[in-house]
Amino acid sequence: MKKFLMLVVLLVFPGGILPGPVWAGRFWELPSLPSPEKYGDLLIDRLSSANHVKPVYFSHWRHRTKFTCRVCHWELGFSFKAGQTEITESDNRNGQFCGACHNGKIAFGHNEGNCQQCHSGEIAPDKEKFNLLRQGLQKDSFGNRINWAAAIIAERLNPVASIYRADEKPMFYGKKLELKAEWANVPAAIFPHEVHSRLLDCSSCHPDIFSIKKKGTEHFQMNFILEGRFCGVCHLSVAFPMDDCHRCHPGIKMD
Amino acid sequence: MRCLVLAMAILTIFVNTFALCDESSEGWREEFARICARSAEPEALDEAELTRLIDESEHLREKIANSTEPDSRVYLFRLNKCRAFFVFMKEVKKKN
Repeated sequence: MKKFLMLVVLLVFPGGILPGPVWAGRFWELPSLPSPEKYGDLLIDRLSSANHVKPVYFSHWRHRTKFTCRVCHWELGFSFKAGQTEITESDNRNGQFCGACHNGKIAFGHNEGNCQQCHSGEIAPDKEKFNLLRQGLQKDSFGNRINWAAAIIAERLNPVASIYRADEKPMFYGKKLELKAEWANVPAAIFPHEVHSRLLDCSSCHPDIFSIKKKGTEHFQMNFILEGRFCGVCHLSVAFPMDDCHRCHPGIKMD
Repeated sequence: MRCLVLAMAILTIFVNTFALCDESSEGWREEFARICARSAEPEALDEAELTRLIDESEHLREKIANSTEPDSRVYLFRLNKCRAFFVFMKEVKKKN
């Protein structure tokens, strides 16, 4: 009902009488955001509780300072959706998934004394460490309140693109896509391949997330994105959240 | 003397078997690296090359699926992603 009324208002006052784009930003029911140090953190509980151990606490921000997204979501085979990948203790001990690094050499290992470090059962980030990290990086308005892309471009962070090949460099693909919005007074969304290709492989997104072979927004509607599809796979929970309208729609002025 | 010969024969069989296993595993890893590396240069691939890469991915998929190496599951995940991307790119190229 709220959406319908807002739509009527936008139709009655077209063409900029109202600050349309800003209204558009407020029109969507965006998920509420946790505190910056908790943004992107999650509990993995596909098998833990069923095996009478506490779920695993995973902090995205701690890992993304050292590794690009492709390391975990391509090289190590973690699905983008939490809980979709079956990760067993035996896999980890065989050097798979978390065990690729958490082996006692690169990061703390799967030893008896370390269980609680991951199987804590609660999202409890180290706020002091987070604040210290944030101090040295470019700021942002939402999510972790860190502009991760800017920090990488400025080389304040140099996450590795591979844990198996030291010479692996992120690929470069600079094509920008302009996606026209369906509403007359909403400026187009701009999709920069460049910043995404620094962090991911082409096959991370195509065709599983984006199988569209032409420009257009009929499939990229905001309500689909808010359901966790398309950009919403990452930009609802880990990458900068959608509260930051002008990051994708640069023509939108935030007040 | 007979025991020594027997021991040598067993050792030879063991070493050869191990070498064969290792070789087959190494084989698919190299092939995987070669095929998936091409997904980083999508604009340089024409339809014929993409078709060849899709066929090679399918052939390799069987090899990896039959492997007992602990990391074969992850390699299969990555190979499937590469193959799907080649199929996607082939459709894109056809459309354009």
